[in-house]
Amino acid sequence: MNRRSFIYNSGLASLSVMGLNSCNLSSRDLKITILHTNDVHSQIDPFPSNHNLYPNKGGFSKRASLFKELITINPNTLIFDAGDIFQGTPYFNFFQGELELNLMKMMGYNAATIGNHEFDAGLKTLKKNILNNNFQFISSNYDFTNTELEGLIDKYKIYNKEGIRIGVFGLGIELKGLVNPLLYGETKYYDPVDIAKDISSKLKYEKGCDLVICISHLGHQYQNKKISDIELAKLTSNIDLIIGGHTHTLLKKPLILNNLLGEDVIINQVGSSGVFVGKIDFYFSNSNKYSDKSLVEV
Amino acid sequence: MNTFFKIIFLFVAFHLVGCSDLNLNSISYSRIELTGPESIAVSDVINIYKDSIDVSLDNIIGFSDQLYTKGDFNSKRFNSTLGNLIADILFIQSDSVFKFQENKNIDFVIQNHGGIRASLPKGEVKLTDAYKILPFENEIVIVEMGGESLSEIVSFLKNETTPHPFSGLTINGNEVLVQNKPIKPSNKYYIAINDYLLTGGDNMFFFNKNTEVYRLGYSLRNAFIDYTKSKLYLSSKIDNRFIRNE
Repeated sequence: MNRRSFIYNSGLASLSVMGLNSCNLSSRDLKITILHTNDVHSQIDPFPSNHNLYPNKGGFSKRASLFKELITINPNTLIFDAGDIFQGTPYFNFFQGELELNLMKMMGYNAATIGNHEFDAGLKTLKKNILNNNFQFISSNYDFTNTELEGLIDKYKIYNKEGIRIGVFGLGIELKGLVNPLLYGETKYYDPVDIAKDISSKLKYEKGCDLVICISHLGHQYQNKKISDIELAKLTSNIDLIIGGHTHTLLKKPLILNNLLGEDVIINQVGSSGVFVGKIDFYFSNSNKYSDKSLVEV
Repeated sequence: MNTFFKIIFLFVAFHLVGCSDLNLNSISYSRIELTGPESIAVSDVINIYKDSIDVSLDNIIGFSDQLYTKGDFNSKRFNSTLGNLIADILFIQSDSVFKFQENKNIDFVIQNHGGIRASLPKGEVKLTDAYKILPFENEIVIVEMGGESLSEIVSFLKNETTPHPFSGLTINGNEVLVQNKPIKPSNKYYIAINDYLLTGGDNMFFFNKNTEVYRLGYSLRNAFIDYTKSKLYLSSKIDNRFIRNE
């Protein structure tokens, strides 16, 4: 006897008016795939054949074909970049970021957080490139009021994939001492931990998100007390996944840390220059299987 | 309510909670190295941009006898092959421009570690490598600093986790020499840096204590390109310019 017939046979079918109508009681599984890159640094072409570590690897064209293949396999895919899209090859010197955002939009990136090198061509040029490509940047702790970017950057975004709500917010690194003040102008930096606590709680409880993802350009870890992804994970709650950048950290596998409430937070970062793509699959199900949130390599 | 209906009710209530939303059951990950096929559509767009760059980035500007990186330092000999090469090039090039423009010599160079962004490949050095190693549009500036303010710079360099390249300066434990002479607090020193550092970049806020700034109008990358074209062969090694006590 399956569950549906059991309930009907029990004479409790009237309960359906309380919410069973919209509810499919048959077993349902849903996979959400998150693809991510960081610190691609304008590496449009693959590395040259004489590169010491990754000859002929990487490049936007290979990445585009991989994304296409993975989106075909699972349409419930979201693609994020954790910042420092710009600076590192002549493409940026000559085109000031236009090509990077054009191609990222074309290959299906949903959003990126703002890295310190996103300021390198100035806010006016960045604005032009955002508007021309309708590119989505998410930044929660930079305040762009009274700058060229005012009104163009979202504090968070919520993506709905077959009823699963994925809340995404972005964090950027302190600009003072890192970026030329003439480039960031009146952009204000706010404490990432305070902002992360507020937004992640809002996404989880007010907005009913099933997953909360932080795309961070804070850096993986520091020897001093500077705020990093590892510190952020320990000092907050309500974040499920931190996609990192800035320190060019190439993790063999994602880290799982305990947050403030002892719950799991996943942190991942995949080096630099777009040689690697990180892929994390979240499996949702309405069956009453024991919830085993351990992370397995596939 | 009898016990039977209590059990039924609990069972149904459990399913009402469970079925209205899906639960996260498991998570898997993988790290994919990009070796695979290209996307024709994307390659077409890239080629349009590539063809419109009007300098020949594949032109060979020199040769390198080996691979040089900024990461081959150790904690005691706190300097790297590529860092030394670039700092020495900046010294030679900016000194000659400063001499020409102001009839003065520079005393030393400081270049931030983070300003060097790629390795120098062994063999042919192409124009595109100059862009990758020194991608920033930063210009060389000469700051005039009093000798009394150099100790702050030296202690900053000693406490950093990565070695900022320099040339013209030697730090051996507590012994600090500029042009092989001890620092005199009353002297003026001319230090070649870049305009990013002048704005407090990489937390080098001490350069705003300068008593004069000279802008050479000469970029780091052009200094590297000019030197490479003039010498043709590049070579470097780790040396004793920065020895740290452990």
